[in-house]
Amino acid sequence: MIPHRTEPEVDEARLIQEIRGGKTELFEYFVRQYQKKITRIAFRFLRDAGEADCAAQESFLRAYQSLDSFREGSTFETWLTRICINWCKDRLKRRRLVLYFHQGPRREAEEGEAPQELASSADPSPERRAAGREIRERLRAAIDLLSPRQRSIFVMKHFEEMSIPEIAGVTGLDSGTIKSHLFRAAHKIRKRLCDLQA
Amino acid sequence: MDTTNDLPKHLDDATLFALATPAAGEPEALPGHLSRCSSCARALAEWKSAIRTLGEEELGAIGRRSPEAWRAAEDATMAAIRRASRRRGIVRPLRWAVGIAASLLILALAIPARRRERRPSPAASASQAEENALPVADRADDALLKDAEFLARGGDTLPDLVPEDSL
Repeated sequence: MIPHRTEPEVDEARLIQEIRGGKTELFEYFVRQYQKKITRIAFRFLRDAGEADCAAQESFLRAYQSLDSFREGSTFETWLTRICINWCKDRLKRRRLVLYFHQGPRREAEEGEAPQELASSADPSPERRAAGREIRERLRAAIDLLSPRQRSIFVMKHFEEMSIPEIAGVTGLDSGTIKSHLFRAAHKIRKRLCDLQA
Repeated sequence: MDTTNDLPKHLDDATLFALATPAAGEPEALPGHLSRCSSCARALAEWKSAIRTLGEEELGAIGRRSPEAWRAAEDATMAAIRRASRRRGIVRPLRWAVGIAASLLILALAIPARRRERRPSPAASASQAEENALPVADRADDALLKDAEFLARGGDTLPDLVPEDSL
């Protein structure tokens, strides 16, 4: 029986052992659990929905085919994310684009199709929405000034809500370096916000 | 960051941003001003919301994908996994079969070669058969002629001495 993400404390190590033993269908648990996150991360690198889907599928395939090399000390999620990021980096090299998120996303949506703003209160008035849009514009302008690495780490931390150890695991950098990049990124953004406000 | 109680000024964008994005492992050091200023408290909430929304905006269509669409993408991934699993199920036995076939081929070539080494050559066999067909006296003459020929070619020692009583 394939465990579902709602079941508490699924023993992923046990699942991996059983998949190695030939129970391929159990791999579905990992696909259901992590495909959305992996696709989102891939999109942040590749800036194309189709390529992001391709990257996610390829990442799961590589993870399945090299499951024997998965070490027990790491989590499957971290290992899979690292596979995805490495695949995206290779893809970007082949496309000869600037790494990471130098370009903004293609504006696919009209103003009316903008994502639902997460209301900070029970009153989503037009003025509040306008204020929220303005904040986002200022933030976007400030974040665009970051270096590719700072931006990617900032995005993983504050947009994907990954922890420092998770970011360290997928990037191969140590936690101290991650924190240093986060600090510098925050410092740059704050400085830019001060300049904009002035 | 303004933490003194008697400063009335509101928090600037940089401070609001820093409060909205606390470093991991560090608790939010909310200034006392927020507990007294509803305007700044609301502004902080808006900054937090703006950061989450900006993250979603950057995802574009991916961020707006329906649960059904995600399910379909997951199904496609699982289908690819199953195809890979079936290919692996075929490839492994094939590898064994190729190895066994190669071993059998090597054996098939090696055994006849060893047998050919042990068997005398057709030319030597033909010569021996011809010799055995001659009468005894002629056999001796034939041997003498062969020895003479050998010596004429420059041979130093005769391989076999012809018995004198046969001459």
